[in-house]
Amino acid sequence: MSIQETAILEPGIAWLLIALFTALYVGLGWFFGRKDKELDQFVLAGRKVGLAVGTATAMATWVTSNTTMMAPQLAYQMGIWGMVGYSLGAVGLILFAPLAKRIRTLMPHGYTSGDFVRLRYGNLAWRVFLGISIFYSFGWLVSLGMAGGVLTHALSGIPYWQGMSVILAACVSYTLIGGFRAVIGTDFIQSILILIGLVILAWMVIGRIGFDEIHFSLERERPELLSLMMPAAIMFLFNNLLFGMGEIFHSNVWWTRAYSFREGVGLWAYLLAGLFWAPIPIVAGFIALAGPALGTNIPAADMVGPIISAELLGLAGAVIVLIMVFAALASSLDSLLAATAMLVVRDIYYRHLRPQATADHLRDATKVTILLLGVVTWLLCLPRITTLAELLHFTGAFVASTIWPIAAGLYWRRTNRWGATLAMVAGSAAGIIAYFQIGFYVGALVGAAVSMVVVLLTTWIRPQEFDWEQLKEAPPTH
Amino acid sequence: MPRSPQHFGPATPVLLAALCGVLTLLLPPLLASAPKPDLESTSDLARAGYYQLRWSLDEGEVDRFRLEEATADDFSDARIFYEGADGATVISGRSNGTFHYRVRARMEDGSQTEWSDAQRVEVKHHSIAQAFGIFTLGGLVFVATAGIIAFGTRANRILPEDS
Repeated sequence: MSIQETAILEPGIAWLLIALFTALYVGLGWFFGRKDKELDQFVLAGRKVGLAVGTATAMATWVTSNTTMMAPQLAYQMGIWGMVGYSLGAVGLILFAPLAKRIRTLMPHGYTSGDFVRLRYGNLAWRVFLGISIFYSFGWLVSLGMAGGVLTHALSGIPYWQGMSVILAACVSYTLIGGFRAVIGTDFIQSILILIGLVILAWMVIGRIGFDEIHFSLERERPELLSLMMPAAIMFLFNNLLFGMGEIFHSNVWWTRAYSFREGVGLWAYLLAGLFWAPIPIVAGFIALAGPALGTNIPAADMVGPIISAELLGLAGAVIVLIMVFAALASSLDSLLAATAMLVVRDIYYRHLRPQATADHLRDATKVTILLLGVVTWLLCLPRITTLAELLHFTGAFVASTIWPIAAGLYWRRTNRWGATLAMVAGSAAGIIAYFQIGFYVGALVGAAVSMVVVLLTTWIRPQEFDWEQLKEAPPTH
Repeated sequence: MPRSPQHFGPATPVLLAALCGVLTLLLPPLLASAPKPDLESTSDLARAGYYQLRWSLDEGEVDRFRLEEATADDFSDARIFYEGADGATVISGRSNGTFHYRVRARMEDGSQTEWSDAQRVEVKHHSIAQAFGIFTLGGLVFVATAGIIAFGTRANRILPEDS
């Protein structure tokens, strides 16, 4: 039996919208990627992405279905600090801005985040890093796939697995057809759709329900959501900030963009994207706080955003939410598919298994990997084992343990390879213990703290002198 | 005036025995045909004030469920928390306390099931001291990380050969 028996949108309308936007994205994917025949063009858009498209792709990728669906979930579970904490995810983008500039300068011919860790810290740290990064990528991919199913189920009652399967298939299709240029091209269109959708939603919510009514209902029914002293929410604030930093600092999604932007673009693109992104979780989260005032039942925490929007705004609201979240979801899923496929092909297949592979062969391998990633993600999404927030924050302990090895590795010559490796392993272990012993809202924070202490101690005890020129590895000849 | 046992006559023990026999035969099937929903919580101890309740009934056509919440374990102060066709609800923002839940289903033929087994959930938030301890730790990590980046960027601007 389904847990959600009441839905606003007719399944037929939902399918029609999904079909229309799938056709749009696949068409755009083909259009943007039609001339990219070379490997560098297919995976890095020729390293010539400008400021407008660069800002849009960074922002759209960071406005994931997690932003539009998890921000309301966290507001519903953790109250005011939940949505404020989620918006602190912008700090990761803002702090990555100077890193993007430095990455582009230090590694003008780089392809992946794995390239940096391999050249800076050696093979052991590189392999630990790859394990963390690929594990995280699957966590994010699965959370995005799940979000597609949860969204369509919440709005239209379409069974979870059907919505999840169709949306996943749509995103795999256009990433496969168009490559990285299709990803950033559709991101531009999708970021516009997301922003327009959010502005309309916020305007409609403010017009239809007042602050007083929301405040009165929360105070009576769910007082802790208004409390600034809610212990779990206090712990969550810096946890989410550090989780966001860990996601961005290590993930190939952001490194490929740093490599693909024209010189001088990265700093401003990430800075502007962070500033534009910060208010979005506040707007999305606020919608959830209207739930108690409406008396609407929320069967699962990650369904709260779509359900409240549809309940409050009727058919029009449901249609806007479906288009907006589909755009948010697609803009992240395609980026993640492309970046993860690139990491798998370059760092595992090319570096470990087929160093003599030609550029054409690697281009084909990237396409096959995108398809395989889609299939594995689909299989992992089917059981719907947990909520979106809990799934994604499980990966938080791992990614936050990479913050210090990455940041110190980019700026400090003296940080050594053993320290970086130990920091990632010990940080991940400590974060996971905290996740299970305390809650999902502390895993990343503890992981980052332990990793920081290890990097500081090992750099102090056993400094090395790294030559930055080693990062300027000659481009592969293929 | 109350009647003493002897007023029932000599046939009474035989009739009672027959009635017991009939009840023994009929009662188990009758009880089996009155199912009750299963109710479960994602957490018996909610440390962040939120939890999800899920319920289901495998047999029959359900019209709607009725979920009641009480602070007393005998449900003397019960109130309707949810009534409808959904099979779950998320409760959040609760202050410390103990809450009891039970659910029953109204079937499409108008009949209703027994109450489910009661589900008890205790809300006990983490201590404020622990929360601020972790908050402070997070703040330190953030400031230190931002510091590396700020000083590193500045140093590389001053010393271009370093980059």
